[in-house]
Amino acid sequence: MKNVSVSAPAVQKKTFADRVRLEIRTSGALYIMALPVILYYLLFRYIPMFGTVMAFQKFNIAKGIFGSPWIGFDNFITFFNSYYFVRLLRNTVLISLTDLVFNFPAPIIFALLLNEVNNRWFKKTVQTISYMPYFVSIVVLCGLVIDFCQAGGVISNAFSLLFGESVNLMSKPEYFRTIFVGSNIWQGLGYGSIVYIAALTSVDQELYEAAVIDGAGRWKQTIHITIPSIMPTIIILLILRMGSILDVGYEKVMLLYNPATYETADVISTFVYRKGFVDYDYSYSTAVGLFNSVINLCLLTLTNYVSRRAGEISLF
Amino acid sequence: MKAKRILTALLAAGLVVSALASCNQNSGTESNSAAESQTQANTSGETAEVSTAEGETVTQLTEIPLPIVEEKITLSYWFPWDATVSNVVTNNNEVMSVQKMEEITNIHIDYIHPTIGQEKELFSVLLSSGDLPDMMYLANGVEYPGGIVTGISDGMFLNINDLVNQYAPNFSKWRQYDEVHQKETISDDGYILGFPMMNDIPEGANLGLCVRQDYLDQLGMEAPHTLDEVHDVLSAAKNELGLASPLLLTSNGVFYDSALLSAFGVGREWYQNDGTVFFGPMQEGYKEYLTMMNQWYNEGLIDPNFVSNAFTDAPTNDLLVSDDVMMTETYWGRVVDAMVYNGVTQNEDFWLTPISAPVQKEGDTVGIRMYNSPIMSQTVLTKDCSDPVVATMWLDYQYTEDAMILNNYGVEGETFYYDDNGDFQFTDLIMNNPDGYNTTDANRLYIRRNGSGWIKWERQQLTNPTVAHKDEVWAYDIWSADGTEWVVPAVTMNTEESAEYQSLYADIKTYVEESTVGMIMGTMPLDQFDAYVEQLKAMGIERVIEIEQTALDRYYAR
Repeated sequence: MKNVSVSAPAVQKKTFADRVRLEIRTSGALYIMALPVILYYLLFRYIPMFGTVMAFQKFNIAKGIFGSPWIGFDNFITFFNSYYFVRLLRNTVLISLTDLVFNFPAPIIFALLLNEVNNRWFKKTVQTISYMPYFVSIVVLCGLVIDFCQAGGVISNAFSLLFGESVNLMSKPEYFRTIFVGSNIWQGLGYGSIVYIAALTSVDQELYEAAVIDGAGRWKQTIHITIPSIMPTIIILLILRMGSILDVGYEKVMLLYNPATYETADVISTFVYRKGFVDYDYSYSTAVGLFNSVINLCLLTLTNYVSRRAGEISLF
Repeated sequence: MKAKRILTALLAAGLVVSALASCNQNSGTESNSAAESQTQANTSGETAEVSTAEGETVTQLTEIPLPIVEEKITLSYWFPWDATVSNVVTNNNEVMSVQKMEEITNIHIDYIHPTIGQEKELFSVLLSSGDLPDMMYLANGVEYPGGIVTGISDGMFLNINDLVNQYAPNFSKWRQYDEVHQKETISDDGYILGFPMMNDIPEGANLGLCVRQDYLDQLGMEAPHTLDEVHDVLSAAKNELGLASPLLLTSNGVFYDSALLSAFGVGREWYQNDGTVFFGPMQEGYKEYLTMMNQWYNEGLIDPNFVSNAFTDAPTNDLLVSDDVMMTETYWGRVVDAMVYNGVTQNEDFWLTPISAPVQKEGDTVGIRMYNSPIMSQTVLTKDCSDPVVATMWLDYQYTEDAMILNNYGVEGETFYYDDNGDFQFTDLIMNNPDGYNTTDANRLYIRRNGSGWIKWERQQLTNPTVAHKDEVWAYDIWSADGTEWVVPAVTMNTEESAEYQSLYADIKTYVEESTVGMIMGTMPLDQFDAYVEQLKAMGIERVIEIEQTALDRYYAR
């Protein structure tokens, strides 16, 4: 709309149709390009939201959403009273927080380190190799992790050299988070650093020249120029990451956990999966999913608020 | 959060089509009387006046007319299958015996095969789409939420009682074969569930314990029969042969057929004693089992990786042939030297001897083993079935002798011939395939095998071309020698019961699994067993037992 008023300030009282026409003439191509994305969000993100009413129903697949009886908050009450509620919530939050604390800074540090490398060939090689695990299928990746960590595996053997007996690390609840987050870092490090490397290339080189004249070493340059320059990128990604703090994907957990590690590994999304697809309890599973989303939304809003207040960088 | 995304996508689908579903709602329960529906069936078949159980007289076909329809029609059939088939064909219609079936019946079956491993999810999606194929084969773990009876009362599946009475003479005959067939083809309230894959007698135990004979010979020991002997054999394997994981256990801590646990008079999950249902994991015998396994685990006799091997029935081939295993469970096709001649292992001495479930002392017996009902996966007709009469007749044809031969042995002269004794023999097309397929693949390429209809497992297994020598079948005799009197048969529950059962039992099952492996590995002390039983009670196990008991009572009252 801004374009309209700027490009035609002299013309007053345009009708809505006129404005639409003008808009299409000036930036029609942009609208066409945006259309698939808008449709995607409508179809796969907004329309499905109506389905969450199922959380308040005793859903029957034959009767559908319009025919199933309403039961109010029963599903939520059942979940909150469930034997596993506390454990699921605790595991989800802990896995997610551990992942955030270790996995969020890792690509940033990696990008900063790469940025200091002057040998172009070496830099590209390291970058390419670090992307590779990202393209390995999650099933294969988890198979590798299990093989490495089982008794007789590479990591388990290294572990036994340090601490004595050879053990199956996959059966130890206390190591599940470490294995989960560690393998996440291994897989996502290179790919996650792309956006930071891109941000780093746009840092004004004159700033560095000025800093060198002022006598700043590499370390000082990093602290006072590089990091502040990519701070907005970091903050935005952090806010987005906070919005998915309870989103621990079920695939990887399911591939890695076993009855011995349920204690620390069973999370809300695996519970939802089992309820929905194994026990066909759609309503209950939707209720738990909805609970998860509401918490996520609150966290996202909170982080955004804090960030806006503190650093004047925010999503909305 | 993928789970939620998939769910919400499902919901969207459900939303869009629920309007459609409501239009069709009546078709399920009311208009399924066969007489009302329009059918293109060939009417030349023999009929007879027959009295039904309710005392009415109906006209019943006595033989399926061939071809079933004058003018070729197509029926769609949702059909989960297994990887051995999908390795060689992309659709059942490429299979020679299926093409022959189409020729005979004049009905083209449009087979829809869900992706292997995603059957349950795809089934849910299909149900919520509201537009169902004519027939659905509920196999590979696919089941309607709440059971087939709930599906019928929800109006998704047809009530086929009248159809079967009038148009399914062969199936009706087989249903009366014996008490088990009569009981397990109907629900408690008298609905015929569907058209199952059916045996005349239950298949024998196809899974059981086995032990490495070559290692026993090295040790100079006999195959063990009591728990003490098992312990001696495993200890010797550990200490004298240096095996890293003498006993390869399932990831939930109990063998699928309850072997080892059954020595303490307890079943893995549900078992019965003269009609009274018991829940195994809360019995005193279960504690004794855990105590023993904990001791074995501490002695290093159990695979330290058992929880993360992630199998609950039989280990994968590569685990099975790892020369670190003395004893485990497996399916019959892998015993003796099957792993050698199938090229899975290079160890020429590899030999697995099947053994029966161990007992506490010589002379004891166990009453539970691997048990398969003669009534297996069902085919149901759906609310959208375009011609229920023709579909019924086509399915009924699968229970004839001709169709049994076609489905199990293929086309005479092409895939098999009768030898001088009148026995089935496969031709070179199967045994020495000119296109270079091995016998398993050739078998799948030309012969349908699994699916609704009458199959004879004995003949199917005995003539299985992949069996290089008949010793493998010996495993059936060994494993089937144990009793089945503790086995709880296939009970059915009504909608409310099954919803309550599901919601209580899902959490209980998780708790039992993690406590079981915890007590075996020692991470949960054994003296907490009583507290664990109390916790099961707090989670509602007594109510679940009550539901299971009433369902069993109804089963016997059918």
